[in-house]
This record gives sequence, structure tokens and C-alpha cells, in this order.
Amino acid sequence: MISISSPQVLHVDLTNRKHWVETVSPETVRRLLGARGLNAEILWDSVSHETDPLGPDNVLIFGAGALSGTHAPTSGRTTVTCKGPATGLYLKSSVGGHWGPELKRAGYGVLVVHGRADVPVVIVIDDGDVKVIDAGPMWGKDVRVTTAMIKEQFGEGYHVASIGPAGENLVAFACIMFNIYNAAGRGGTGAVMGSKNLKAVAVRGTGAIYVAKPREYHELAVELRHKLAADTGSQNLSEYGTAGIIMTVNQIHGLASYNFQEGTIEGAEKISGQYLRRAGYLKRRIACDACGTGCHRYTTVDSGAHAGTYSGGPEFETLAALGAGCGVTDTDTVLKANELCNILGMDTISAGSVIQWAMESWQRGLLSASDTGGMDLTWGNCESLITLIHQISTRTGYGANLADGVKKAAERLGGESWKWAVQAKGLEQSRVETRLRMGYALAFAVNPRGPDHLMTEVVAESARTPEAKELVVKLTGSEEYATPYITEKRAELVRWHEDCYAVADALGFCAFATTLAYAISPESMARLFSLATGIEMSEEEIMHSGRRIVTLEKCFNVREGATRADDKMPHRLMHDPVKSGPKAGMRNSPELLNKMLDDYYALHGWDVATSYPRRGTLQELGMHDQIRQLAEMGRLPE
Amino acid sequence: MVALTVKPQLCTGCMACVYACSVVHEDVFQPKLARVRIDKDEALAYCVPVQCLTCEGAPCVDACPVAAISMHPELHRPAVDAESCVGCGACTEACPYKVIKLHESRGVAYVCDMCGGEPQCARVCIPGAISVTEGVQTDPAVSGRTERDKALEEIGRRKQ
Repeated sequence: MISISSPQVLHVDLTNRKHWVETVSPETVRRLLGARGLNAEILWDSVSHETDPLGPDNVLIFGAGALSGTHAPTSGRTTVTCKGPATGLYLKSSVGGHWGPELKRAGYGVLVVHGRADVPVVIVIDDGDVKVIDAGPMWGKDVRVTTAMIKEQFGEGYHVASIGPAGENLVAFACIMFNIYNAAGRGGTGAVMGSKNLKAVAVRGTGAIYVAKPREYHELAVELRHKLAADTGSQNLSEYGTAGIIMTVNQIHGLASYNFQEGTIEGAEKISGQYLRRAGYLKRRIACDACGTGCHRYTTVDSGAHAGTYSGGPEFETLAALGAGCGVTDTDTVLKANELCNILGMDTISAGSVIQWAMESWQRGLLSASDTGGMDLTWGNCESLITLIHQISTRTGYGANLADGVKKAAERLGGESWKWAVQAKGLEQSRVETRLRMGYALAFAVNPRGPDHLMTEVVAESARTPEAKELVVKLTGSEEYATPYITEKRAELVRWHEDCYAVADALGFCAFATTLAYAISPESMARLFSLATGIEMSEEEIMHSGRRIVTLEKCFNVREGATRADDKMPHRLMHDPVKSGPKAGMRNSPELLNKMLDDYYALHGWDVATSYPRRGTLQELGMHDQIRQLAEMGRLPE
Repeated sequence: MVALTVKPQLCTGCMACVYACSVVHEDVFQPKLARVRIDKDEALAYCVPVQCLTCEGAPCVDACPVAAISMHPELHRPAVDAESCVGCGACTEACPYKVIKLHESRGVAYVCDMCGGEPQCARVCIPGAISVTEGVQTDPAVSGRTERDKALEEIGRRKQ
């Protein structure tokens, strides 16, 4: 029987083709909970600040949520952790699907991949049996074909995590795809996997996951399932997917178009979730493990030049990054671009971002046909968008210049092109118009993996629902703070969301149940955790463990050499104001950011000048190894 | 009279039904032991709930050499008398869907019993792919057996 209170960690060393198992104590589970939390400590212990992210000494960690494999609603998510190739800093990437729960049933809560295989390989986990086999003809194949080949060879019951050609070619924003269409999207986890010559991890598990109080757990899980289903946000996600907010965002001039030069685009309706359904692109809805919402789309293109396109998605971020951002509103094209990124194994957000940068460089005359091999990069050129995605994934043609991410592409091109490389820390920003949302801006600036949304989304600050407003009042004391346009109390909002996100990620829960809808509160997470593990934890205690996880991630970055200077926004968003709409003129100015950063570091017990956590703060969290190592480096303020 | 109704076109593949069935019957989360499974074609996003919806002609009842399986008078579905069952597996051979199985530790046949009348799978299915409706389980118009079979054929045919 498989224990949640004392999970097993499977280590696989690809260099020497050996594997071993380590048991995690209940005390460690209390401290770090699971998935993202356990992963963070393993990463801290396994690499140094000198480790090359694409070298054999990096580790690639797959952590299943502590409650994954049960029917706690949305509990099936998995965290992938490593040192990130795009930033050289901490990277965690979350993913849905069903792979993590299957890993749990095979007996393992975490898989740690070390070293580098001498030839491309696949790790095959069949209940307790672990094999490293040659990938052979799978290398070079896309994610969908690879998955089919593995099922053909080993059996239908396997769940597959794999990279496509993008990961094999070490594209800086290559991703790992799980159950074909679910992405551990950001930061280049796919490149790390490719650098290890690891094509896929296939897992089949038939074991029994044991919970301490099965009857009470069942009743609470069912109650929360219905609570989430009753939430209107959840219903909208089910109806239209994340794609359902495209028109709302367009209306408030927050739909980042033409590389964040505009906030609205003509024809946005054609790339909305409502249109996908009305025009017959949406064929089925898909859900991740244990989720009653089913926000995923399954869409196809049945006619025209892209007939035969079929894929999971597209999500809001994809429609914004590969659509509006590039000046493209042709539905067929965006669906094709989405499918390609999925099967080639590439992050849609970063791919869109770097392609937009190239289009703006073309707009401003820094790129011409002689640079691009004759390809026209005018905004909205659908053919060029598709061609570039192919080129980037294989590092061919002009696309090869984009495969290392937008920061490096701008360095390569020179001139003023760095000004419209919309990145910070080396990661392209998610398609969130942070100039209109101060809490988001702060969260993005301090995010250890770069300016990205799937880490600490302060959705509540816009107070679009009564529950969101209630949360803001609880955290700040007053309804006057329930607006995204002010800097006051953003630190308080961000801190709670950081902790809640960390707990949710560690247990396997989705943001759409915990911080976008509020059906699964930290209190509910603590109750489920206690009933499952038999480890009693209150809401305060579990949020404290969340705080520990967030602080550990910060310490990792301090060890890497990151300071306050790195906690900033992309240049454009700090210096170019929003051009149109009711809030024209707003930007994430250095003055506003600095004010929020001062509040944020002070609230966290971190040194305001450097951002380094203070000794007392780390002591309170019992983080002794972090104290020792950072003190040795002279990076531990008193 | 109530029956389980399956609408495969609404199934999102979330597995909640499988988990609920497992924990309620076995006190652990182990899909292998659940009385319902989800057959999937991941690439095409097809998901089909598969549990006993009472065949025409009850092949498992007929196959049992010791008459341990009979039709439940209210639920109109096969019910196994665990005391009489000798674990021969004839019913599992006869079942076209492999939804009646031999329990790996108890050694007797087991099949969906609708949790005695309040099926937990339906209780946790938010999209409504599995629900409880008025009517007789043996009627395919009520159970959705025809739709389920068509969906299974879709997956099967595409695999060829």
C-alpha cells in the first residue's frame, strides 16, 4: 500500500544507468508538503550555483502532488523542478493531465533524474520495476507520435511525459508534454530533459494509495467538488475555457497585442472561447485528474488550408501570444500554431513573445528580407508565424536566431531591440497587461522564475466577484484596497497568494480551484491533507509550510546571485505607458515598483536593499542549511 | 425504480467516478479495483465510462456454473452472492465489457452494485456523463448502453 505521509523518491542516474529509492519522512512532509515543496529542497541539495542548466549535473525533478491519485477536486497536478536554462535561476513548472497520479500508483511521490545518458533513452516505470531503454527511432518524433509508439511497445495503460524536437534541439523554451496535450510550459524544462538525452518517461501504476480516514476524506472531497461546481468562475471555465476571457480583456484594453504596443485588436472575437464553440471548432472538453470543471478544450480545424489540425487547447495565453500578440486573428492559423507548439514541445507564450519581438524589429526596420531569408515579418503574417514555429523547433532558417529566447535574440541583433524584448530575468512575460494591475506587477517582478502568472496570480485584486472582494477585505482590512490600480497593500495580497499557491502546488491543486475560484481554501486544503496523511495541520500551519517553500525558492536564487536588481519588469512595461482605454497612461514605473518592493521585502523579513532573507526569518522557518550556506557566501543579513 | 445512465459525449476523463468507487468499496484509491473504468483515446480526447449497464440476456448470469449470480429485483442488474461464488472466472469470460472481475485478494467475482441505490460515481460526476434516472436499467434508452457501445466502437475503430 502506498503511503502519502511517507512517500518514496525514485532516483534515476542516466549516466550510469542505475536507480535507487529514498523514503521521505512524515516530518519532511509536514515541513514541505509535497511536489513543489519536496522538489525545492531536492534541487537545493543537488545543484550548486556553478551548475550548468544544460549540463549533466543539473537535476530534473518530477513531483506529484501530495494528494494526487485521490478525488480531492483538481488534486492531480505535478510540479517539474530544475535549474532553469532561460534564466539560470530557480525553475518550477506545473502541469495537469494524469501522469502524476499514475506515478503515485507506481509507488513514487517524486522522480529525480540525474546525469546524462550516452544515447537517447526512455525511462519506463511499471509499478515497482524501473528500466532505462534506448529511445531508438522515437528520437526526432513529435510528442503525439512518441506517445503512440510507447503505448504500442509497452501497452495502452502507460502515461507518457515526453519532449518533441524542440527539447531535443535545446530550444530555451522547450517544454515537456504530459498525456500529449498538457504542458509543463515555461522556462525550458524540455531543454533540460533534452540535454539529458531523455526522450520520455512512461509510467504505469496499479497500486493502492492509502489515506488515513477514507470515509471522512470521501465526504469532504465530494462536498468541495460540488462547492467548486457551483462557483460561476468555474462554470465559465467549463463553458468557454480560459479562452473565454479574451473579449473581456480586449474591452478593457488589456489584450497585449503587437508585442504589448496595443491593448486591443480588431477581430479579437475570432480568437475567443465563445467563437471556438459557436463556429464548431470545439469538439470536446477535457479535464485533468479529479477535476470537475474541465477547462481544457479539444479543438479541430475541419476545412481550409489547415484542415486536419487537432489538439488540446488553445488556452487564453496561447491565443494572446500566438494570436493577438502577433497581430493574428485568424482562428485556423492560431489553432494550427497551437497544435504545432504542443506536438513539437514548445512553450506557446515564449514562442509568441519572441516571434512578436522579431515582427516589431521588422516594423522598426532592424530586420529585413535579407536577414530572414525572404520571409515577410509584417504583423499578422499567418504563414510566417507557422514557418517560424517550425524553424525555431529545429533551429533552422531565421528561426534559429529566436531559439535561445528573446533576451539572447535581442543581444544578437543589437541596436535598440532590447527595449522591445518583453522579458525579465531572461523569461518572456506572460500575456498579462501588468501596467493595469499593480498586484500582478509586484508578483511578476519578484517571481523567482521570471515575470509569469502561474506562480502567484493576484486575481482577487480586481474584485470581480464577491468572494474576491471578501478575500481582499480579509487580507487588507478594507474594501478600498479592492482595486488593481493602487500600490497600497499589494505586498499583503501577494504574500497570501504566494503561500496559498505554494500549498496548492505542493498538494496538487489547481489555481482555478484555489485562487481564481475560492472553493478550496487553505483551510480546506489543511483538512484534506490531515485526513489523507494522518498528519494534523491547521490552516496556519499549512500556510506556514507554504511560506517555507517560497522562502526556500528565494534562497536558491540568492545563492545563484540574484538580488533586488533582478526583481524588475520588462523595460517596455516600466517605461512605455498604456496607449489607449480608460486607464491610458499607466505603466509599471520604477518609482511604483520600488515602493511596492520596499513594502514586500519588509513584510517578508527580507533585507530591503538586497532582497536577501534575514537570519531571523530563516531561523523561524527552521531553514538551517540555507542559513549555513548563505552565511558562508556573505549573503545573510542579520 | 432508478438506473445508471451514461452519456459518453459529456465525459471529460477526470476519473472522479473511478476514485469514488474505489474508496467507497475498498477504502483505498486504486482504479484497478473500481467497478467503473474510463476507456480513453488521448490523442482524440475521447473518454468513455465503462461499467455494468446490464446487457440484454445477462451472459454472466447464464455463464455461472453454481448460480451465484442473479438479477437484483430492484436494481435490475447482476448481483453476485459472494458466499456461493467459487472464483472460477466463467462470468469474467462471458462479459463483453470485462466489467465483472475476480477480486485479486478475496477471489470472488465483483461488479457494479450501484452502491445499493445511491451510486457514488453519479454523485461525483459534475459534467453529467454518469447520472441516475428514473427507469429500468435493462432498457438501453435509459442506460445509454447504445451510445456507450457506439463510443467504444469509435475508439476501437480508430485504433485499427
